Amino acid sequence: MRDYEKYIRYRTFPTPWCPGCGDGVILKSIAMAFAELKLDPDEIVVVAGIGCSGRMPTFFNTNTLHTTHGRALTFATGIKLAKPEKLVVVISGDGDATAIGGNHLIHAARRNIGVKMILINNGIYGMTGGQVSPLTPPKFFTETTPYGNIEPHFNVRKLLTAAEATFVARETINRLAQLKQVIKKSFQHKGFSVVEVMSNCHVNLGRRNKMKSPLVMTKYIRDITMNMADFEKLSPEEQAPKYPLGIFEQNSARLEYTDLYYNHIVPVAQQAGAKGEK
Amino acid sequence: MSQRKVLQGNIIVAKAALAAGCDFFAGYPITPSSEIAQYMSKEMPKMERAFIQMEDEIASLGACIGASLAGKKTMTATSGPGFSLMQEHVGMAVMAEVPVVIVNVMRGGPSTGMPTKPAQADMMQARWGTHGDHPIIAVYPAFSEEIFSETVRAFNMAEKYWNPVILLLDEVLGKAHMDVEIPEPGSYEVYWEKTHQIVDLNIYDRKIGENPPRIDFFHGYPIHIDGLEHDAHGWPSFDAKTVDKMQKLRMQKIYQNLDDIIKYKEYFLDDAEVIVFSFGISARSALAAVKTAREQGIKAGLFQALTIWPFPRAALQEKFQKIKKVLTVEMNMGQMKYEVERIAPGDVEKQTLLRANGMPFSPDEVLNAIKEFVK
Amino acid sequence: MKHFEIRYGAVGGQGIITAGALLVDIAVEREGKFAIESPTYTAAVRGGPTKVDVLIADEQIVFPHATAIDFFLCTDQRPYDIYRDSLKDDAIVIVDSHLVRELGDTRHWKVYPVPIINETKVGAGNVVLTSVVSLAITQKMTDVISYENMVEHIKHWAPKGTIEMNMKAIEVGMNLIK
Repeated sequence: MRDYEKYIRYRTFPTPWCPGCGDGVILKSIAMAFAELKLDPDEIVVVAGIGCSGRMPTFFNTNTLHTTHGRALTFATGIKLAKPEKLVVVISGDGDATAIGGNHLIHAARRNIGVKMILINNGIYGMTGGQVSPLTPPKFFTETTPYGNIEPHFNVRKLLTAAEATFVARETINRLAQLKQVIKKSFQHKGFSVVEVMSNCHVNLGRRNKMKSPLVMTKYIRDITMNMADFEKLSPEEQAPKYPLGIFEQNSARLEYTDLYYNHIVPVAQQAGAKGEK
Repeated sequence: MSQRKVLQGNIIVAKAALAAGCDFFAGYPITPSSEIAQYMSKEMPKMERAFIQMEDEIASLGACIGASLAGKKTMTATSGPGFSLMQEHVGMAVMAEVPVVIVNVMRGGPSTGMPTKPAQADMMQARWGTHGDHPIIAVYPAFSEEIFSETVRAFNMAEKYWNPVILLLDEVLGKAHMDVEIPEPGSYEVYWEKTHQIVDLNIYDRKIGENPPRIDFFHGYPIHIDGLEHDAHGWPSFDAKTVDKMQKLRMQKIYQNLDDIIKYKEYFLDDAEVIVFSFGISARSALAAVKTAREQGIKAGLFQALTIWPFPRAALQEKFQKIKKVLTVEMNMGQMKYEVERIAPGDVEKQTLLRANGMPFSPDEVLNAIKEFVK
Repeated sequence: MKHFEIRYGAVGGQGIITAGALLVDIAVEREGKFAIESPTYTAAVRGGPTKVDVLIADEQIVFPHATAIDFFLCTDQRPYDIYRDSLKDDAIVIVDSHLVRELGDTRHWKVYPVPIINETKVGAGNVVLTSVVSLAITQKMTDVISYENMVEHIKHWAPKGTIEMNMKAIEVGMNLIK
């Protein structure tokens, strides 16, 4: 058994994901990050909302919680504030995190609560059968944009930077080593972190956009993404359809929320004569 | 100096919650419940307990469920519109069997309705607000001491039965400052299942009717909690037989413990010819009316439901064996009256006094309704 | 006294919720009575018509709103117009003589128009003391609480450095109606 397999709950397999889905790569990367950090599985909680990504927690041999659509961050906030010493990971899809859960996303970033979010961006609502999401690229065909998508998509990186997120990164399922490394770094970061992972849904997005095989779709992801250094050399027009990769924000200056909270109340509790029990 | 103090109804709820061991509160401001959050934000840091104001009511209940699964005793407080937003998570807490106390200081509705006016508007929302078949406990105090004792009881029942418990309160009583005797710690039960060991994933494995064990994280063996229908291990399962059993497990933990859960008060019912069935602020109008009726020789009595869900069916049916008239008094256009109608035998005459205009019934209005009914 | 009902009518910001809260505190915590203060208010913290019912009794109060009012103090025309129902015959009615001009039919009541707000500003030095002035008027006209308990309570309740001005407010209230 390899190190990371300790974090995989094999008895719950098979997964509900389609053959060739990027979610398996992400599952493995996260487990590998756990293994490299030698974490106790009972000290970890993996929380998810609804969607294909929502099923991921079941397959981790850690504490796991499958919640409601878009609200995983709210449950995670409760867990983290209750038990700040635990590693609280949120797995979320693009619809889950930026549409129905968009409000929680910006507030988690604003608070800088030490929850680690893996935002799987496959540009579509997969589990419900392929409807447009706030991260579906313009002009793409989906079940609810039969004439092409007219809405612009969120730039998650800029959205989170505006909300003063302290760790923002983007990777793709094509680069397992880098993905694992970035996830590991995000776990080591004290405050709120988001790792956006560009993933493929060849079944529900690819099929309607001439990319019905996983290989074609992963190649598409490779073509639209590039390292930040290369991205910065492009003109704004050239940048528009491209997604830079790497760690965009990594700022330890701002205190993590639960540290801030429990430090902030120390003098209040002392003055009130509390016995110092949490 | 008297032992009695003056406290606002909302503050009595907050004090009782802290006395019951509430160590996590997440909420969102809404009239007329905000004083509860305000008090918690001031007092909980003193006790090194966690308070957070979330971005909305959905997030508030989500955070409470999360904290509850991390071993805390949790509460949130809201009013009708916020309660509507929370409903999906009420279902989540029921499904995953997570204890949480949800306070709803009711106001006029629907929609934003009348934020500063009372209404017994959410009787049915408390029962059927979340989708799907589910058990729920809702309590509804009317007098100051009941506000304390029912809040503590709400926590105890949430812990015992691993279910959300809803505490309904009237705007009038949430906002009013009233005399109250706060009982000494130790003079009331505080239920709290001590630390336990989880050794396998079969956390929902129990016999129908058995109380669930405490299900939470970090007990040495990682577990899975799911909002989807699940089997005894918590894994998602839509197998008809499994679902059938899980539904019954959740229902029966409540319905086989009605003796512990159902609480009501009766006044002058022994020889009564008419039962006034009421709760909350309307029960106070009704009690004043019933007392005056007795002075005038009218044999009226009051059945005041403290547990509103599950409905105190057996207790009320017993009264119907002798008393053949029932007057339901509620500040809405008719909600609990349907429950009364459902359970009252055919030979019981049913009458109602209903209103939802923001004005509580005066005792005289209830008295007139009684007089009209017994005429 | 077995059961006594007081209503304060004002517009939001005139301090009657405080006056009611003080009255209930004194009645319960200093005199061992039963009491409840229930406010009826609007979303506007300032400017909306507001009433506060205070019920004080020797036994537990069943219905928390006033239904047979013994004493009504009102400092604005709008609350006077909408909240002067449920007054007993012989009820004592105190109105601000500048701000409540249209009294209507007052045959069954003992009405005292006095310049409450103005005297508070001039005599006590700050309009925020209307709450304490109203409380003092209530004490003097009803004896529902004792003068000594009121003074003691206000001394205890008033923030540091404001005791003197609060005592002045009590004096204004006590002298407004001869």
